Amino acid sequence: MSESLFFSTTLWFSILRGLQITILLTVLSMAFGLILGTALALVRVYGSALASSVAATYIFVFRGIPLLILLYFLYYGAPQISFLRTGLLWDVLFSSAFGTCILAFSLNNAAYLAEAVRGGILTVKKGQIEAGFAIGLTTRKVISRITLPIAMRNCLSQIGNETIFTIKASSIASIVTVRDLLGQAQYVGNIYYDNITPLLAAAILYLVLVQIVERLIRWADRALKPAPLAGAKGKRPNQLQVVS
Amino acid sequence: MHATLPFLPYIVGGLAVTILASLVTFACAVAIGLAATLWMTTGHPAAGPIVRAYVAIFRSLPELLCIFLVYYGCEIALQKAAVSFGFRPIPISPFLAVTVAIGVQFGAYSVQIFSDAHRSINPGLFEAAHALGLSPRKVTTRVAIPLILQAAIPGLSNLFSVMLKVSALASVIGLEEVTRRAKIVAGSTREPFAAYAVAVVCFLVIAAAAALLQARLERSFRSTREA
Repeated sequence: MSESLFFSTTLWFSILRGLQITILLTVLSMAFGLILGTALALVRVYGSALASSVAATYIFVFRGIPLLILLYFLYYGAPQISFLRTGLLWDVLFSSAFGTCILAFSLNNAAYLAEAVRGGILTVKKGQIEAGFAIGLTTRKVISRITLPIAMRNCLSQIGNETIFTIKASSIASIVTVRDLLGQAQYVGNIYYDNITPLLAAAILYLVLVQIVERLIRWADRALKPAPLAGAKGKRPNQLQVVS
Repeated sequence: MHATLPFLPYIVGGLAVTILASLVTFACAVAIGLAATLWMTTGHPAAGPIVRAYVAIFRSLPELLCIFLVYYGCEIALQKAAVSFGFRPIPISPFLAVTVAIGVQFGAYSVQIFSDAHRSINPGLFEAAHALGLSPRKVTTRVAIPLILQAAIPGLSNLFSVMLKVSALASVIGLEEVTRRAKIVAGSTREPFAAYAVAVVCFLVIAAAAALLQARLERSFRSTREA
């Protein structure tokens, strides 16, 4: 630990560049993960028995594999298959470490988010869905306009937890040479022959980032909470209630 | 694929290291979590802020960063000690570094699990124990700890299955568990696809076993509670 390095602008500038990559990894993989995860959750709840079990298998597999092994498998193992080495898939995803990381994190996030969204769907009150049908909406419209928005609001805190997990897990990208926050810290550490100081600086940034995200989620959770209905005597109308 | 087959027992053998590392780390995390929770319940004025700060810090640090901090930190500390006391620097065991780093980090999660468990217990049970004339120490060891552990089982088994997966990170500092062995085999046979596929299957088998075990544990405890 050296103070002169800790207070140097070089260190902080390069680590801040790493922070950008970490944020980019998190945002992109959360977005793709949320899209795929929502689709999986819908299939799991509304799909046929076969489709539902396929989705369940996907969720089991990608929740069971450690992220590091998934990343190794996609980054080192997948290019062995020859058709993956041609065309758009190779150019966009498998040829770069960053693209492979996005793919691995998104696949992993999708499995966890599918479970969260499914939980959210199951807590939507039956009466709200029936009300949708009663005013003449089609099944598709009921799902897209009523079930999904309420389900998303119900599982917002879990999506938030998942975001924090992704921020932390994205540090694994540094192992396959992506210069994210941790990777950049190690890079600086190698240049200055000082492993500890850049790591401590990176730790501070991770702490700040996670605290900010935590605050944001708590704020969003409060802001989106529906106002109590007139007849509900101040009780939240959206109490957790499993409707299966 | 054919080149990887002879190495199959080698990779699968890494499971023993993975499981052992996870168990030791888990014990470490549970001990830290239980101690911190019990300290909080004594009502010591410093306990609350210190434990809360510990949880906030270690919940937001990436596991990999923690492992590197402990590993490099111990290395530097040992080197300095070796220079000043004049002994040959000892290499640090990756197993020990991982146990300390992940144990301390997951201690933060287990504090949360245990304090939730403690809150879910009817305070009348503690009062009853006091009324029976048990000493405060006996109330803790005979009443509080068993009840907390029992209430914490679902949370703890989730934590353990997360730990099994996190233990793959230990390969980065050279612990020879499944991931590391798969990497070595991938390098020597030039068949990364097959080697990592074996590692994937290994972890899926563990995940399935852990899920079965968890379901059985929860069922048996639920039945003893209802009885």
